[in-house]
Amino acid sequence: MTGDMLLALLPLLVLFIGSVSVLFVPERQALVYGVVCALLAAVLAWWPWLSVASDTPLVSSGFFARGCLTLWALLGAATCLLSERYRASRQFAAPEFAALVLFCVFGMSVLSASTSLVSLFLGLEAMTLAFYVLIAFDRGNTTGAEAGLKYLLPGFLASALLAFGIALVYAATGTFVLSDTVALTVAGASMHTIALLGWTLILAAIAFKASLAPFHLWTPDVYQGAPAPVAGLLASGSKGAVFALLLASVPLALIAPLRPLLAVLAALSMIVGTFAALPQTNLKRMLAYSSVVHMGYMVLAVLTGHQVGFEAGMFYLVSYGAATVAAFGLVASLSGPSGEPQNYAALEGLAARSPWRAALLTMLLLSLAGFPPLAGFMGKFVLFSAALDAGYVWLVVLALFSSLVSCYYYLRPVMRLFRSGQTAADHGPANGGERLVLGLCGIILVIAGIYPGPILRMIAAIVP
Amino acid sequence: MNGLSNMPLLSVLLLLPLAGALACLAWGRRAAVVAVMLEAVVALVLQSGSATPALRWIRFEDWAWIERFGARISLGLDGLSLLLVWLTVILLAVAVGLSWPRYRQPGFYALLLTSCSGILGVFLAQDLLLFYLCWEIMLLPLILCIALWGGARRVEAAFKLLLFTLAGSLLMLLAFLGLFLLHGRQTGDYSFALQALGTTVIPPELAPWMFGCLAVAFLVKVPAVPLHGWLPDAYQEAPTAVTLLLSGVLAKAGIFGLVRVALPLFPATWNSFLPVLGVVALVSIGYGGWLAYVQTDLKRLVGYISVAHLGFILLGLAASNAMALQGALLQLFNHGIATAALFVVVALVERRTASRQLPQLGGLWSRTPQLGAMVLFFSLTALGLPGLNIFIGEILILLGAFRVQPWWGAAGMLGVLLAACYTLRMVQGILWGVPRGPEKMADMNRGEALILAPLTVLVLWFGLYPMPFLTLLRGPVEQLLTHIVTTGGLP
Repeated sequence: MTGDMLLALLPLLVLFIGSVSVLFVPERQALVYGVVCALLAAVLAWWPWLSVASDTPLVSSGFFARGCLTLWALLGAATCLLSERYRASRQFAAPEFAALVLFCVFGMSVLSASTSLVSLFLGLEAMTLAFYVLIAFDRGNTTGAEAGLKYLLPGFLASALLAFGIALVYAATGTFVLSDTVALTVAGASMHTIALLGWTLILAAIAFKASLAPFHLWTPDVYQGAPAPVAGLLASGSKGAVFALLLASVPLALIAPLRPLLAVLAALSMIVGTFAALPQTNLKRMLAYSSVVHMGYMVLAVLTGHQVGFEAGMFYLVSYGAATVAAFGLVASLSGPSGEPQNYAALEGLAARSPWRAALLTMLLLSLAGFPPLAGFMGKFVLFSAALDAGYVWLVVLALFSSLVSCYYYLRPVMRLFRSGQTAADHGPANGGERLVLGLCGIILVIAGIYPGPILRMIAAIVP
Repeated sequence: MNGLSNMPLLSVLLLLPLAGALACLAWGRRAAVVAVMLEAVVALVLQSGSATPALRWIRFEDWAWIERFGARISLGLDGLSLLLVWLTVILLAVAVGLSWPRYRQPGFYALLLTSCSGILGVFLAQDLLLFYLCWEIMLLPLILCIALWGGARRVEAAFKLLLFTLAGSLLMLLAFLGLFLLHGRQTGDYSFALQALGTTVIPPELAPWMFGCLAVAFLVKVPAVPLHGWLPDAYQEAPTAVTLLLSGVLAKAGIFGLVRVALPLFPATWNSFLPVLGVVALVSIGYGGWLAYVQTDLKRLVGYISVAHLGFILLGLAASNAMALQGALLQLFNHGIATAALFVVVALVERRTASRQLPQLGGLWSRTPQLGAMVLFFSLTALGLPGLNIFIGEILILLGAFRVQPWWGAAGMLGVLLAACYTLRMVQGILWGVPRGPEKMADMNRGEALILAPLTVLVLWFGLYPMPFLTLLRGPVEQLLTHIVTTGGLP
């Protein structure tokens, strides 16, 4: 291990050391400390003298890895800021919470930066382990414990599949290095079938994490039971990290026999997610099923298998992530002593009580539905045009159809917001952290929707 | 006036309503009035300080937007779009004026203004991505207005409208994306500029599909008869201001899209599509007129009258010769004014009688003579009385249609006869017969007269002296004819 390598790992080390040291910080300052650590890591990733740092054997330090680390760190910081209300009202153990969030961000960063099957496994497990605890963090909430268990069991299954898949791929190709394993899985190579079987298992494990149908069954229960900020991180960060991996280091579309599998996963996710989301009356469950649909769209980006598609995928991730984090953040900011307002009925009359939050929630849901001029539309536009360019006409038609239907389930809660309801509000005004995160997400959504040029340029600069 | 020609007035025109909407949210609904007034001033000075009239555009503006996709904010104003911009601004003012006593929430006015921004964008955009963006922006605020301020079945009506139009616009997006990729692959220049995409060579097996997507998207918005399912509920449940914009301007956006986007992009397919369009037009005239004849709800009745009249405009497009096209494009404006005026008088009648059902109305002439005169006047306009604006458009369209297909013209004439039936039935039901409803009712007050006065003036002006406006349309009509003629003759 040379000094250069240490420098390359510095942002990751900051996250790791932060997650250990936050345990010794007093209760009140712990969340802020977590935010500072995450932001420090994000800044260090772009510190000029780090740009010469070399790759380490397991983790890349390229622009893409750093860009992803920045994204996850920002998401982690947002999660900490949004949890302040929970610390105050439900006696969250703040130091442990911040430590777990930082560790989770660490796992995501390793995952999206991994250059080897080993670091892939390590990153995925580090992230998942932290989530097991985070989901069940609210001890007073029994559905939280249930959710934790429901994430744990499929998670173990996914880990087992992943480990077995890695073993098979290693057996077939004789290397752990990701780019080599993909390149060596060519038709005609010895043990080609074994390698394909391995990749299929890995794909299944990834589909579990990204909640692609038919591996999505845990998603609604976990979203419903988890504290809203954690659900936001789970929905945006963990799925984003998995897809960042698929877009940058494991271009599965290059392995031709896997393409039909990916296409089926995408189509199933769009269909199943759409129909399951239609009858929902619980905001978090609706977001869960709709995230299945969005992940189906993301598979389109993976399928394109070329640079433009990957950039479109990253742009879509940013727009989806900002909207999702803010939506769950809003649920968090509207929660009071009696719990989170998950049912549409609890949202009734919100426009009269707190017009700004109602307007923002409307905007977020419209963006997720893909209405111009918000980021969701621009994301779908770049993504679908890339997929159309790659020749997946029927998948794009299906995606357009599912986004048409999606308007129904996204607009249903919006209608309720503006109806005059009698429900008394037990949530206070938004605190500073919530305002900061929600406002920033709103601004990002508008800018990415109206003038996406700069963001597209930034993404083009980091995608390998 | 040299300074005016250099100012980016089109961008100002586009952004002013948005700024007005924000100001509404911040300072209350009075800001809407200021915004509408400023908008009217900008719309009036658009034409002044223009370059030579020989050029295609009166004004053209071009800004960088998304380099990655070759999308630019390019706005072009010619005679047709100028006429439609005026129509939009007038109807926006009418809509705001009509809603003023009834709706107090600033959000309502903010949504109307936002939608107006989108509508103007559609009429000005010369870039397909911008066009699509504005197409969506124009619709969504109106749907929210229906869902939040509409009648008893507002949510259903809003969802129905949303699904119909969104299905259409997603088809449009698909066609635009396909065209963008085809053009990019052929020339290496990935661009959304309408001008550039018009030169794309489209494989003959793809062209009907892409054109079909566009045609459905635009005809849904009109709406032409097989695609009009959203219309009765939306028109009936929406606040009158929204109905007025839907029928007065959004319908025009659909037809505008047909002639300004679908025609230049697929001129060859357009020619083979004309017979279909002719049949659609005749069916719209006949079926719309028939349904108008049997309605009892006044708003639905006027809605179907509007469908029948839009059928005439489509007939003019189907005929596609200079006279019919000129009539059709002029009729875009005339129809907007006349339908809006009809919806306004219906709203005024409803204010007094608290009912829109024909069986519960009658004898208004003796109690409110001024309002009665207005009802009669605008009904006669809709009937196509010579000297009023609808007549000018219809006669040009029918004469043009006769030249191409005599039986089209003949069938269209039957539509005029039908128009006499349904409008006279409406007039008879409202004005004459046994007086029903409250004993005493106030006649028009000054504010209401102020809303109807400009509409009356425009109806008479376009009916008696349409020449300046026909001159304005000469350039755009020639432009359309070159597209049609260079790719083969008439059907």
